[in-house]
Amino acid sequence: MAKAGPSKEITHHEGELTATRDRARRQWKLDAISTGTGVFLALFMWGHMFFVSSILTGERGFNWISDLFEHYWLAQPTLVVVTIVFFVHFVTASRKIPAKFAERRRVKKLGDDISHSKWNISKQERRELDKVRPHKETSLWIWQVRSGMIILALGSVHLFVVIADVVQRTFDIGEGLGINAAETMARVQGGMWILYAILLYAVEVHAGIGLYRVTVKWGLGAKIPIIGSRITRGMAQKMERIVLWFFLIIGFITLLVMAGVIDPPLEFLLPPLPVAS
Amino acid sequence: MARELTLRIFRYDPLNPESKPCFVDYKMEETPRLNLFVALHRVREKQAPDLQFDFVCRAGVCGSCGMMINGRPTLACRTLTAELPETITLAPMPAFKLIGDLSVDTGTWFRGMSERVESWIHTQKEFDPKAEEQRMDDGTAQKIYELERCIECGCCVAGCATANIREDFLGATALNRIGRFMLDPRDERDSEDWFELVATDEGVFGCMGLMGCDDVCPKELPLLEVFAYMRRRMSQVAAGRAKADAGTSQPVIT
Repeated sequence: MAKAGPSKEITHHEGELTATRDRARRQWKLDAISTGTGVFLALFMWGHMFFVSSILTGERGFNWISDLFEHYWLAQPTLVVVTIVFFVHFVTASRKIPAKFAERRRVKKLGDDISHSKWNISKQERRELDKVRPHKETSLWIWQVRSGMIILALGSVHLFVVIADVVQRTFDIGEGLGINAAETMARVQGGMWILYAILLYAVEVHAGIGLYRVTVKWGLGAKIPIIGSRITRGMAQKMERIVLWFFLIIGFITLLVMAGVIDPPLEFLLPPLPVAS
Repeated sequence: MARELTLRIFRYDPLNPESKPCFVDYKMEETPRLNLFVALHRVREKQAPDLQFDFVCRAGVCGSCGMMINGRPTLACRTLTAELPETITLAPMPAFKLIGDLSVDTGTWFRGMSERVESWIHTQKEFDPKAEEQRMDDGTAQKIYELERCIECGCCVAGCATANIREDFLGATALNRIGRFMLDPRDERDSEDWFELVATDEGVFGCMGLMGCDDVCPKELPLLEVFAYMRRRMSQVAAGRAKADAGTSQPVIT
């Protein structure tokens, strides 16, 4: 056996000597962290979407949930954890983005060439070919990077606003009222809808592509428990599309309600309390 | 009415200091069932006797004729001109050393890869030339054969963005080869041995997941499944759960 004896030592880029196994473990860890934080954030965003969409039942439902979260100290630790995970995900996931512009251009060119290479076949045949040998992954990846950058910028603003609000209410400083419907709607109607619309779209695209890519990168060929069939790329693509549209539609309806363009469609479930005279 | 084809071919001879990289157009009349193997030979016979390109088997078995055909790495011998528009751009595959024109040195690359992967059966058993060969069950042999179908054409490497920008990246063909030895019950390397080779940025965790390898492989090998399997297995090793299982766990080949 060739690998007898202690683990090989190699010189690292920075010149430090590391055992190959330690190095492999570190690189595995970074990849696992970026995947894990990504999945965590995507699942968190789904939960977030459901809670925010409580505005569809009117202000009462929204305030009830946000009061609950703040009163029982659920919102505060979640904010801290999510903020940390948000930046950890950025640091670990951005490792994969090529540093040099020429490299990025090469990635895009190669992907474009493979997906749009000029073959003299009919649209029908192209569709048949794409079923077997599709290639849209490079553009998906590029959009994941772009949406990630947008989220980094706009998400930071959003996090700052929400943290400021919650901290003010929790510690009774300043004028912040915590997360509540009236203030949020005023903010959205005051022009922040642009930020939220872009952020919403970027988040849903980023999370959808991300979960699809995690499935394909880690799960392909694995058996699904109970059902017993193996995960295929086609299944993952379908899942991505369904999830993306589901959350985009809920998200934009929520945003329209917040912006005051339409009335909460589910208000009949929770009619507003009569105003005490 | 036969089409007039224009073969726009990359020309460059690295050994000639006067040669400058450029594309040169060669025109020819299309004949029925013309493939690029024949087309390139016609160019060399009638128009450019010094044109360099590689062919051996002309049947998609030897893996010599991988090149960028309208930007997509694939085998020239299996490509009919009828599938292509009138202008066909041919370039050498990136990520390999250029020998000249369309010819690249995949041999040195694959030799280096084989050495890094230690692409041979690792066993401490004494070889007895007189003993009967070790038997292998049919299912395992079939699975190994599925991965052994790789013809080393290099298309997966040329179509891989990571390999295009990182010289030390192992590439899909190497991961596929590793999968082949993981399957082999005669190979005694265990998961820990594979970990330091596979679980690095040069191995499976350097992959950006653009899936170019899987989309261009002319032999349609299950490369994505191999990558997914490697990631899971390496994570099991890191979690300390997959010890001493040489030859027992197997990549999922659908």
